[in-house]
Amino acid sequence: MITFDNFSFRYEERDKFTLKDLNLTIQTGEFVLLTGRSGCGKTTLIRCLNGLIPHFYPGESKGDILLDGHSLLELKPSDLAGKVGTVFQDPRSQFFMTDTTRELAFGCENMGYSREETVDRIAKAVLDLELSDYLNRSIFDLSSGEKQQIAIGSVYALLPKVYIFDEPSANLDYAATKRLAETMKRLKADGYTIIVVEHRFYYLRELLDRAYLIQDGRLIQSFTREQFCSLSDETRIQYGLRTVYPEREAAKYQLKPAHKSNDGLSVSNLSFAYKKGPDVLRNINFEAHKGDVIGILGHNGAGKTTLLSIMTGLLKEKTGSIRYNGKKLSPRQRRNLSYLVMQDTDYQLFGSSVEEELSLGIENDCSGKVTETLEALELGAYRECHPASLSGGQKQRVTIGAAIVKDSPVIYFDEPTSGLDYDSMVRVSHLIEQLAAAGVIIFVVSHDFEFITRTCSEVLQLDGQDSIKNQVLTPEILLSLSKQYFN
Amino acid sequence: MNKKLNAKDFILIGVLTALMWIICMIISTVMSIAGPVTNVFYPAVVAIPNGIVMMLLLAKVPKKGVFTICGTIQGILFLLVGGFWLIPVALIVGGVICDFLIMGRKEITMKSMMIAYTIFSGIFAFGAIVGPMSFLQDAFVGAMEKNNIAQEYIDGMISITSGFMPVVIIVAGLLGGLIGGYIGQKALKKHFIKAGLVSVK
Amino acid sequence: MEENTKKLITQRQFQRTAALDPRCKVALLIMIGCVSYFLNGEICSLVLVASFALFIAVGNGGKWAAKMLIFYIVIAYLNALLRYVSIPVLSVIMSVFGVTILKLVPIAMMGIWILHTTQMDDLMVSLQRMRLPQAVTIPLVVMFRYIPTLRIEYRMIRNTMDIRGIGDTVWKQLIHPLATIEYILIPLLMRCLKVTDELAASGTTRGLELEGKRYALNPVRFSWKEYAVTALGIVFLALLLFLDHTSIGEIIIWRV
Repeated sequence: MITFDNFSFRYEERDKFTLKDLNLTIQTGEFVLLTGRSGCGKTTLIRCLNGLIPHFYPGESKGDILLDGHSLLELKPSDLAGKVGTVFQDPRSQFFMTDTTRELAFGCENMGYSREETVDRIAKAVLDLELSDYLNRSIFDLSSGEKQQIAIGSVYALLPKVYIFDEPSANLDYAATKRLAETMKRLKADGYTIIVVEHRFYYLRELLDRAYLIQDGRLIQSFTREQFCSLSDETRIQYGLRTVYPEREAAKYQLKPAHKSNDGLSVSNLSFAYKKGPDVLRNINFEAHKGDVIGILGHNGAGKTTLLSIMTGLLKEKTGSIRYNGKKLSPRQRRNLSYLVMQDTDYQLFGSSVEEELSLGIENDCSGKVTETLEALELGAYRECHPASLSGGQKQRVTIGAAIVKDSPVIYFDEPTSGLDYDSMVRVSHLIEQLAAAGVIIFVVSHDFEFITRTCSEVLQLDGQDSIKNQVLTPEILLSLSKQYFN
Repeated sequence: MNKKLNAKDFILIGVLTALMWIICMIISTVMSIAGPVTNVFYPAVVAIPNGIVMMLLLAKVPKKGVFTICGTIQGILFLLVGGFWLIPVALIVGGVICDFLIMGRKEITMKSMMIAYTIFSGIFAFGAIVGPMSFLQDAFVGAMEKNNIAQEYIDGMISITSGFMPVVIIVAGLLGGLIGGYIGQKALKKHFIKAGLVSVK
Repeated sequence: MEENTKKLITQRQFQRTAALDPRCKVALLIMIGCVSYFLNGEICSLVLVASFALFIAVGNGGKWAAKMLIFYIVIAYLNALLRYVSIPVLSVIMSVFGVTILKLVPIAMMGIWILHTTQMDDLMVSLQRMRLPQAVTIPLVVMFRYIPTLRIEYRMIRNTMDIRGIGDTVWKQLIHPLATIEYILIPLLMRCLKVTDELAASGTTRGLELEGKRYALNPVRFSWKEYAVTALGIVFLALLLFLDHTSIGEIIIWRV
């Protein structure tokens, strides 16, 4: 049992308390969802549970947190290693070892278990979680979903009683999310206490026992599963929550106005292969017109990122052509024409202020346009701030701003909603609509059904078929997609 | 302030040393291919981009031992890729000296960071170039004599490697460190301090 | 089923000489490092490179050994060629440079092979057995893990720079070298800070800071094999050093 007893916490470097007067009891074996807007204190809360607070992130705390009657504040993360296991958000940066087997063993080896015991524990993890296909592989060859399974396995081998998941689905596609849900189901059935922090929580709807809504560091609401799943759309949106039933969005879909001008991007017979490898992409044909928002869909490894790299001119196609307004484009011309908003904004910010960021790489004077764009993106107040000091959603808007100032006629988005709360998701969606209305061609790679339904006018499905074309998004397509994703 | 290094500090040292090491390898390889004359100045050039990294590391982990650990790790790696044994020795000795130099005072300041880094680069230039050069000179002269190479050649080589060159190389190393430290601190103020990620007195 | 899984888990990925204790490999490396710089005779240097190339080839490193051996021979020939070129000063410096590379080859060959054939947990265990503190073991392990990642991160940053037109041409890089360094390094460092936070969180919550005795998945022991290999190595290298000082060291093999 975990009890927060009137607990408050303030980070050393901040003035205000991040968590305020928290009272919360989590029973042993309970499956708990913690949710709320970005920056509400969810992550801080779980840092208190795995000992990172106060040991790693020093600060001032009031009240107490008890795990089975013992105060957690006195324990170091390493004392908690066999008791509380944490699976972090980004599967790429939580690995210590370079191969999977040793990563599974990492925790056990730290604990100083004998070789036999370590092998027993990993074997149990491998069998219980069905990881045998992943053994003895380099972690650099795994997909995000596979990495996450290994991360769970590594924690599982330590046999903690409490599992904490920090936005585990943020980097996963639908198949991997499904697998994650199955793993969680198994852990729940075995009686472990599970705490999940998540924005896109649809996959937990069968699993959760209680959901807690946190706002501004306070516990605002507590729901049972029935209450949580039957929240009306108005209340849900008021709390800034994503939907529990994304597939229901399909029915609400309204056809977007078609823009069939002659101008635009046309791709014919495109194929690509990495050196000596088999074709990653084959026979891809599509046309995009000004104002189209095209969703690029497909499972992990279907070649979505590769397609973006070709379209943005970072890779050269093997066969086929890419034309803009009828003129064939070289990779270099494509680079000048396009802008890519990456999933990880860290790679995209170079300047020392938001203002400088927007004007980087532009040779002529653009101060007027920068000001205009900053206002349009509600970033005016942050003009002088360093981009790295902004929140995730704000950073993303800064990179979109750079695309607007660059005047790119084609903008590509790679997973723009991963890790975003409802408000930020809606905001990105609106922004994309505005850009499209201004005549920009937009491509969006996304796994986020709710977002696709809200935003896209056409889809390009990279799964399976021989010849890949873009289709106008219709409720029928959405329905078949939702079946593929959610059943 | 907790002055003891913890696991997080060790990880940051590991990550940033990895970066410095890669930068060092790339620059030294390029400069070696470009020719032997540029090769001897690689420690000075390496010190410039690495200054940015080192300043961030020192600002983020203002504790005793950072230089020593950093030097030791780089030394071990130099040993693995065939560096002359004097390089690790110089790196470790340099690290210890610099640690005491910065830690001589209670607070780490911009100035002490810069001085320590400059000295560290100078010692590295000595260990990486000047030391091995004078060591290898004997061996090489011996080999050339065996091969019946003209005496004037041998004299020429000795004069290049023993006269003013070592001084020039070390001074270049110190200068590289100073420039690197200066640029590093500018970058620190422009980006990391402004973004609120580190703070230095 | 369970037995199979356990077999998979404890399966060794590196065989024969590559499966030696990391300490033994590093001991050999340090010995080669000491000897290589003091071998002046051409024949002895070649024997040194060739014999360790064989040693590596036995332990999952055939391709690498062949590559380095060929590289050695090419450089040796080029160096011999230098005797016929006489540009004052420059050709002297060139041949110093060439000799230095020749001395570096056996060490680099061995060192990089060790990097490729050592499991990270074996490394951690043997570093711990050598009584090295966490201050050395943790950064070293993190480095091995992070160096491959750096390349990926660098690629991502360069891609963005290309798309945004920041320092995307050689010309821009040449006229603004410092700005280019800044544009590459700053995002890279920002990433480093973030990755450090995440790695540290994931490591410490799995007990990284505990200092108890560790056991790797495969036994790490300095057994009779390691003693034998180390002893043989010492004898072999001593013999080479001795032969180098006899008339054998005078023999010149690289002629053009």
